[in-house]
Amino acid sequence: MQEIWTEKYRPDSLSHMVGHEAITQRLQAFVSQHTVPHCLFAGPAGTGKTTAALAMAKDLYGEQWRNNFLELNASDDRGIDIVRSKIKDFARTKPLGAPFKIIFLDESDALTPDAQQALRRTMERYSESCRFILSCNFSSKIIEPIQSRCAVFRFARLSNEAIATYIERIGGYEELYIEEEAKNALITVSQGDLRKLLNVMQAVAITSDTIAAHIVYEVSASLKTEEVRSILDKALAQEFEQARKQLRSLMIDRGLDGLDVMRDLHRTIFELELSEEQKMHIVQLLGEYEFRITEGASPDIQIESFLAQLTQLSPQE
Amino acid sequence: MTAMLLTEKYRPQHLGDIQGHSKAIEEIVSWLESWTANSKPLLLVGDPGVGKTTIAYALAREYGYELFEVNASDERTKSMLQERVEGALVQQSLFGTQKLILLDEVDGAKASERNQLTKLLNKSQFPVLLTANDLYERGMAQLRQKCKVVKLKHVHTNSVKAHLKRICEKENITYDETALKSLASKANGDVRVALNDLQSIGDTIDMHTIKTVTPRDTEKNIFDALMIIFKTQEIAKAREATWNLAEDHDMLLEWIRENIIVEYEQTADRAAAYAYLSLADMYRGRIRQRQYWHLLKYVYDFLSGGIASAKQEKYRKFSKYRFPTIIKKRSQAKQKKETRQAIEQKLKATLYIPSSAVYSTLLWLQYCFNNDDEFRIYAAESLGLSEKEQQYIQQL
Repeated sequence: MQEIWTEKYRPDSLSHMVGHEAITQRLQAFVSQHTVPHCLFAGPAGTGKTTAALAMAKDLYGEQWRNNFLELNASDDRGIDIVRSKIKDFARTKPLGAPFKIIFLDESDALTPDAQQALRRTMERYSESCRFILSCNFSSKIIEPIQSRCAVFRFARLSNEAIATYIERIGGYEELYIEEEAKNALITVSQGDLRKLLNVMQAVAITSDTIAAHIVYEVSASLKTEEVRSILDKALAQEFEQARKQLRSLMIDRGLDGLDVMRDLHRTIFELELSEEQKMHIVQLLGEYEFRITEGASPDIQIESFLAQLTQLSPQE
Repeated sequence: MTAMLLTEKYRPQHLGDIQGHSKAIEEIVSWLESWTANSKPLLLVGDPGVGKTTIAYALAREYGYELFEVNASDERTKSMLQERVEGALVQQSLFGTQKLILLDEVDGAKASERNQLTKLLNKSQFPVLLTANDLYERGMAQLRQKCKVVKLKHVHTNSVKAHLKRICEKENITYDETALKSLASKANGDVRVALNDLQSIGDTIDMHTIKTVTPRDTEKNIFDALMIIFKTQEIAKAREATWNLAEDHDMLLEWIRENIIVEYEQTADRAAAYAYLSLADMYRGRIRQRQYWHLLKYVYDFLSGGIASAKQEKYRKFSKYRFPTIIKKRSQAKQKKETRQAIEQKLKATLYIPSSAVYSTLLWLQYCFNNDDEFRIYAAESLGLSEKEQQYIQQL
């Protein structure tokens, strides 16, 4: 019960993957022929891209998989140079008991086009000993020269039916009683994201063996920062000082990252009771201020400024 | 024209000759007249050129004291300082007269020397007069408490002008009144500056010749700059307020950020001011990322002219500007950020999650940790989270 479910139920073979039958079959063919091309896995979060790569590595290398598989995050805070030097170090040594190693590069679409060009050269230089699997949310953000060198796999969101089956399977393993309504609640809150589904299920199961719909919603709500809503409300009610104070406590006292707050702000805008026009106006503002952060501006100052602009929105009649 | 420096030639010899400061002089005189071995030393505080040293010399002369001067910033080593000061404080005067000890520019001394001075002061058997420019310089607090403090205000422009006029007449310098007044006002209360300027111009002082005097770069006080930026509606004035500021643009930005809501009350003014603050911050980011230092002028433009022009109307009130609280909190925040980054690395490595899922995973862990202690212990172990990192998650 204390194990983290996303790890506990991560399939360790392609044959245990949930959904994505067509993809799984093609990957299994690579394994049986012992040839893997460079791959591009594209699709939304929680659809199984990392899981598929890990499962394929385990099928290919068996016990030796850790020595022949390197998982890297392209958006490493320490910079792309760290990523590049890790690739170099890993690619330099010979694969153990296999014809090639696999480098899995998560969040490849976080790389700038320039960094992708450099990555392309790296891929070519080491293609003798290494295969790359690039993972991304949107394949359109990957430059053409890389796409053309990869076999592209599109991971769609899992269907509601597939998720429902999965919920029952997990419920069976964990001996949970799942109310019919709760099943729909789980499908709604997980939005085709299996990681989210497992996290919510485990959080609910921590407090009760019976999964009820209202608890599902409650838990799901607690996985968002409520303060963000209250900060937005305060700014819109022209209580800027209060909004600023709350924002500061969120970011400084609790150490929240600026981009996390931006993400929550973005999500929350659509829940506000405002006219559609006003919502879109706020989205535009937020977009502009988020862009400034990418220009090197400080997140806390930009969010503060964004809130100050909200006070100028004419109140809803 | 005289070959001697005017500042020395016309240094007032008697207390009565000193321009302005009549109240302060009264206080100093009564301190000296009633001095006993238990009296506190006297600390004279004022900007350069207001007459601190002049007062000390005139005082000694007028009351028949032998003046023993130690310039704290001259004495390079601690032991030399100790020797000289300690010697002066306890040894009788050579001629059997009374001694007045002058410790000049104590705020220029190193902190360690200043501490030593503070200790030595207790031993003194003579009246001690100290001078300093800035009472609130770091490390002055201890000394401040030990002393009777007398502050010297800026010498009023009219007093400076009167002084200049007298000298012009004695030195046979032709002058016109407006030029003299403008020279006096340029000196900004520093008599020494005024006299040096006068001497550098030559024997005719008129509106034309005073143009050759370049204004000295005196550092402006951040509070003055804020007041001008927030109160004025003229962009030129606001921009000028940031010149010669001791604070750099990063600090100026924080000061403005802290005080927008102190000065501006209308939400429209605040929003407009914040829009400029945001721009200044973005340009700062561009400079940082690409080393485009030529963009720095825009940062200042937005912080001065932008903020000044953000208001619809002037606020006719006294505003008490405050120190940017965010600065103090920054080191705390930095620690938190490091903790968070460490956790992030661990989560990515063990749970294979992308950056975008880190935050929701943290909130999820928080929920589970707070509802099930057994889970917390197990999960913390498998994720490799330290005690501190667990706490961070629980208090998120």
